[in-house]
Amino acid sequence: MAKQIYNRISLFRAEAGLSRKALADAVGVNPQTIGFLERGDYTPSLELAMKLAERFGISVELLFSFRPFPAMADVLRQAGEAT
Amino acid sequence: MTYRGNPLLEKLDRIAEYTGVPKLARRTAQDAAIPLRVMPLLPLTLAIVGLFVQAHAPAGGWIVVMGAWISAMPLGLTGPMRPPPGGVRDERERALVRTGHLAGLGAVALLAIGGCFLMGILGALAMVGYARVWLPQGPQDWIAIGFFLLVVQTTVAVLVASWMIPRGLADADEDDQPARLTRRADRRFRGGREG
Repeated sequence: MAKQIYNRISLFRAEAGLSRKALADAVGVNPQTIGFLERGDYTPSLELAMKLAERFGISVELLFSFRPFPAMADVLRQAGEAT
Repeated sequence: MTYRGNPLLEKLDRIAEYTGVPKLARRTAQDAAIPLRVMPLLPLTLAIVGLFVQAHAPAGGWIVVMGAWISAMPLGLTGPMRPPPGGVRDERERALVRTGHLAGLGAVALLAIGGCFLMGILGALAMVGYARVWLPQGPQDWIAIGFFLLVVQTTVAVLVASWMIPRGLADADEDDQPARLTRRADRRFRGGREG
């Protein structure tokens, strides 16, 4: 059984102000594939994962993880409590 | 929904959505794969019926199976395995096509191997009078079987590829549009606003 891989492509896509089609064109896939990736219905190849990370200017580890990413609200709350 | 605010047009819009035509048009416009989860069963059923007819009335059964094959052919060209307009499939689409065809070929291999053993065993039993079995003899019987296997390959490939496409994203048109309220949420929203 393959391990579930979580990602936050939609978060970075929203931050970059990209539509699915624009992101799909940038990494050379069908927009539907971006949708499947965002919902966790498809696990990308290493090549596609690296292309996506490169497009957002981050490392692959920041985009994909074996553990669920914390909610943005929690991250901001923790950051607020720390300061 | 296109016509917001006008109750009559909204209702007509909803009726149009029920027909599935706008959904199909949206998917076609988005170049998205169209899953065919039930339609391939029709030519498959027709092929089984044709083979059954061929066993009992050798004159016309093979034509029915050939008809099933002709009706199955467009499924591969229009369904989930259709080539994208640009002609280049991405890695997910390639995997989808590969898995679909492998499943189709696997089904054909299983049928062919199983059929050979079954006909061999039942044929031997029939020779000593313990069983009655139809065995292909004439050229039309073999043609019918050939077309039948082609139908199985095509339909199983399309079915498997279709079921591999997750349902949630089949209508992936929320990309640049606001999320649409469900009918229940819509009613609740309207009720709350009016009340």
